[in-house]
Amino acid sequence: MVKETKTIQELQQRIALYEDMEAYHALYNAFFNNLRYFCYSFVKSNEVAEEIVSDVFIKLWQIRNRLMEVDNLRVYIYSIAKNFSLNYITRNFKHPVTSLDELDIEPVVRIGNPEELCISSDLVSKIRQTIRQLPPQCRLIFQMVKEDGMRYKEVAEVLNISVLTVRNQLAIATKKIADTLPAYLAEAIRSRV
Amino acid sequence: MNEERLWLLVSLQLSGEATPEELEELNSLLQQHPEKHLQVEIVRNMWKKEATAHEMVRDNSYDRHLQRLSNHLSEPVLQFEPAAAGEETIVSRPRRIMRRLLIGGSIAASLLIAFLLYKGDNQWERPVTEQAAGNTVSTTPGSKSHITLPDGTHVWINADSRITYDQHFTGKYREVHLTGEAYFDVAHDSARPFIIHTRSVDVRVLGTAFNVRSYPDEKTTETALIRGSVEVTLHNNPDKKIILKPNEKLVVNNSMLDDSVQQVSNGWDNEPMLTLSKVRYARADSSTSVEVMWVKNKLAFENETFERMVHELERWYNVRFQINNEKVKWLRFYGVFENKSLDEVLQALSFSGEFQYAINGREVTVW
Repeated sequence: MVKETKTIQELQQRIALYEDMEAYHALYNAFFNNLRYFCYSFVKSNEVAEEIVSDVFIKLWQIRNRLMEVDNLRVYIYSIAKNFSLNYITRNFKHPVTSLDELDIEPVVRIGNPEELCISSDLVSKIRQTIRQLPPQCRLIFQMVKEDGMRYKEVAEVLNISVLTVRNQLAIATKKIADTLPAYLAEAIRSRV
Repeated sequence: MNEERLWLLVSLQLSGEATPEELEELNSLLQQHPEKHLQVEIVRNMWKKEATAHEMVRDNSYDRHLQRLSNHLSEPVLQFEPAAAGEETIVSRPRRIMRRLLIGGSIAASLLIAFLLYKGDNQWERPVTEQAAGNTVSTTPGSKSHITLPDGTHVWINADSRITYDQHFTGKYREVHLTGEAYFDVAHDSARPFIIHTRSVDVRVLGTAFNVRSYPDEKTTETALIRGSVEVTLHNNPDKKIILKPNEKLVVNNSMLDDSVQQVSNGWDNEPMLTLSKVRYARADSSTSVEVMWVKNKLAFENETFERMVHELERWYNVRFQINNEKVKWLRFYGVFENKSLDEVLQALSFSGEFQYAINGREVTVW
């Protein structure tokens, strides 16, 4: 994670100082998958999500000369992506979004397959369902921390909420998922059969 | 046991936010409550799932992104007036997104950005400036030169070439006019773009090293980028901007300049109007690309026809060629010559190409 942050800073510098297209490409690759899922959570369309990622990177290229003024590029990229996504929703569904909890956030969370987790596939779908039933903001926080590997502070900045909220929401999500799980191995084995 | 506390500690551990004290607390909690091990284990395993990389999807998407980026750069970047009714095309979308962003003011930085973009726009619409009345540095056939411009930019000027720049070089733009071939290592100054005007293209530089070749007696204008990035604008199609990546070369057919639209679309001499290719590396010396070999005083040919080499040899040695055998024109050669006399070069070429030559003062005859 620390290493990754360092890499991003290095790419940021190469783009800002040398307009290095290779660095730009590497930055795109570093963010593409997760950022697309992040946007997908809002807009629920793969095509639109990809286009928003593209818009975010068009913007980055346009401001490349001032990129060094950006403190935390990850936060900056996610903030723009969030705003572009909300704008898309506002424009297409004709009502302004005032709170994340009004949105039906579709979480994109990778859980892994039952064999790897030593649990039944029934249980995996139960976990998925639990995640889907979390409050929208809670789902999004869970996704950003787990899938995008973001620090609490970064999530808080992107979503304009307090670090304490992030911390609490993530604890709630973790507990709710754990509650779905069997307490004993015997139970786990039984549910596999 | 406080369940909330346990799962708070687990979530802190998994997201890497736990303090050493909290980790210790978690460990002792788990020791006291072995019945929680399985759940914690499953949650941990679930958490570890690595992102699956869809490289194909990603690469294709990057290509699509580049296409959108170049579409975007060739149109006005930001418009403050509302988009026309019914304008729902994909192309216009980013603009409107940005306008909303401005109105919403959701990111403080956007205002600065908008200002920057707006300014950037004007730069491009500005007509090409008059020939600067200032310094001219020119080289004669057979000679090369290296100069340092007032801003620290290094320019290597190849034979039979001319560079003109404003005496003080203090304007909003650093502009030079080039006839012939030069290699630029541009000093970085993002506040003052560096622009090279040639007869068919303008090259806008963004702090970088590259070679521009625009000889009046050649059919094409070449821009080869070694590092950094440059933006090339075609004189006859100023809306079209081409961004080069390192080790790419753009060749523009000079006939685009004067020909009518129809002729352009028909092609000229059956050669493409615009070619984007990789810079070439010589087999003998892979550290430097063929395009900038001359900067190191090496005469390099990589699968070059003799006809094209003749121009280079004439400039390099300040001689004139007379070719009396059509077949020789189409011979192709590879090779790098360093500090060799014309006679030595021709000896080597004639040996492998099986032709005859005679040097008579400034006249060279080949048959």
